[in-house]
Amino acid sequence: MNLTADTAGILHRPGAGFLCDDGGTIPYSAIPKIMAATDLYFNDCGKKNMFCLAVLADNTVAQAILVLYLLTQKVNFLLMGNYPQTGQKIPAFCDYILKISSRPAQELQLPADIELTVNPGYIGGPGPCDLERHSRSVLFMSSGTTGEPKYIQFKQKKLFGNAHNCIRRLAIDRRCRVLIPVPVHHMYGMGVGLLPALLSGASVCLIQKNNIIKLLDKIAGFKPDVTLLTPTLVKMILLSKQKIDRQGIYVSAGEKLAGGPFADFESRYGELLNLYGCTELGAVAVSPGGSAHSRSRAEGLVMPLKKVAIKISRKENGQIYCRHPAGFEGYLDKRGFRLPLSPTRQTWHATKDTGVRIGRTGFAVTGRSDNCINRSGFLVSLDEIASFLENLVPEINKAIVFEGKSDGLLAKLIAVCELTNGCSLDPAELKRLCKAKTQRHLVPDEFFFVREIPRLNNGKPDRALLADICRLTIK
Amino acid sequence: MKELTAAEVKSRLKEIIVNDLDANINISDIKDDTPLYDEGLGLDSIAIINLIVLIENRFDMTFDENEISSALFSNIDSLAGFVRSKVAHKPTMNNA
Repeated sequence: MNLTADTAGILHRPGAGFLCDDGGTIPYSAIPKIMAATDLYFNDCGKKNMFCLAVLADNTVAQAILVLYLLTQKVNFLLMGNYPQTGQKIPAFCDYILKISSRPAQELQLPADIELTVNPGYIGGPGPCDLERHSRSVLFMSSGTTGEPKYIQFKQKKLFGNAHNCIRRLAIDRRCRVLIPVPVHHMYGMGVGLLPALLSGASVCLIQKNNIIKLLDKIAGFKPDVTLLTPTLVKMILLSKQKIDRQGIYVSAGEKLAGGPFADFESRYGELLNLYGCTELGAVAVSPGGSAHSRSRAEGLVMPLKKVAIKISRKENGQIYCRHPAGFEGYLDKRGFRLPLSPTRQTWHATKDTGVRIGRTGFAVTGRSDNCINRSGFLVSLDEIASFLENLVPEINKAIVFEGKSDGLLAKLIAVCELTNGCSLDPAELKRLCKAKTQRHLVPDEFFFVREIPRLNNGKPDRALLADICRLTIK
Repeated sequence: MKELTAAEVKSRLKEIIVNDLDANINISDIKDDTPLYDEGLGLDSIAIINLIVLIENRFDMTFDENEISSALFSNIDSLAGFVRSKVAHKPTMNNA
């Protein structure tokens, strides 16, 4: 096998730990044999002619080993969820679809469990697209949009660079136990959790289809040193009021967590680090660790990782720009063509987040500059949800979506719909239709119907007035 | 207060899941041994947290700090057994 230096290192590292999932456990020492058998399988399948695999990934040990194997190969691969969301399709630049039959770790039978099928929608490549054959690219899907999907291309080397940044900052080594309840087909689960853990030889526990009960069970049983959370999971742990004895490090990514819930969590469960990043750049900045910085952490302070540069544009209401040595190569569309706004070396990536500088090198994120919010870990464009509603049923002429007061767990979405003359709609029925047609995190919680959306003198919708009306109505 | 039968507790738990959780589940979908999450009813974390709060309110009990586990929430049978036991052993004003 043609192992890269990184992956070769972990497979022969003395004292490395184990991998486990909902079903069982295997030690690192068992991995080389499995990877060798997997390599024979892929050779038989014509590996050298494969262009780009769509990997329908789930949080299992088999999946972790398969990703590790693919990272030793020249083949390109796209990481997608194993449970395709409504309307999610395999992009035309992928020639094969790869998935693994779910099976507990102790019954792991790679490569027997691999299902490799031809993508019927493949358009042929390279040539017809901008993705190069054997370019060692790893692609992620952009999340939280109702429009055309974008595919975010990383070179393997950059992904490893990102992982090493996380290893250093989170102090992950082979004695560590890393709990990953977040999906490994997203940058957070893969780039901050799985890859740094595997490269360090750390023990890994993966939770498939996570929920609060499984998470509490694993924290108690696996006793992690590092646990990846989201703000929603942090709030759920607090709401569950459960006692957790172990005091490892918890990492939260997604929207910034600060103030009361942050301080409550730290006082009850241990150090909680906000991790700021995005799919395009991976991990960008992390809260400072240690008890001396607990107040700064609760205030949202994050410090850039090694060689990551940040600038905050006063002219653009504090938009955060980032120059990252291990960032993405560019965006591809569903046919594999390069989209505009792809970065060049030395360019500053506009994150569309806003922030304020704290001290010489630190900063805090204050919000978004593009009418987007973070919901259940997904970046949700309120304008795109409005557009989705306008195209959902003919009765809706115009829609405005905004964020209402949260009920403590999820950002609450409120939709105000201007109805076509003489039409009426049932809010419950519309909500049911939304649930059937799109992903749950994109479905508004409340619907209001108006004959005409109030507008400002410049013709734009009067969002402030709409918010006031809805607030009064909800009361 | 009259002691609840196992059937009554199960029935009330099913009503909570069907009527009070935003989970789009019919009562006929819930058998006593249907798993509450994953391939069973598919309750997510938010639904589970809401279920915990609703059980505490409706049965006037609290889950103690080490009591929430996957075994307990594996199905209606196990959850009902636990709730019934908690309600039966709840301290009263007289012995508090």
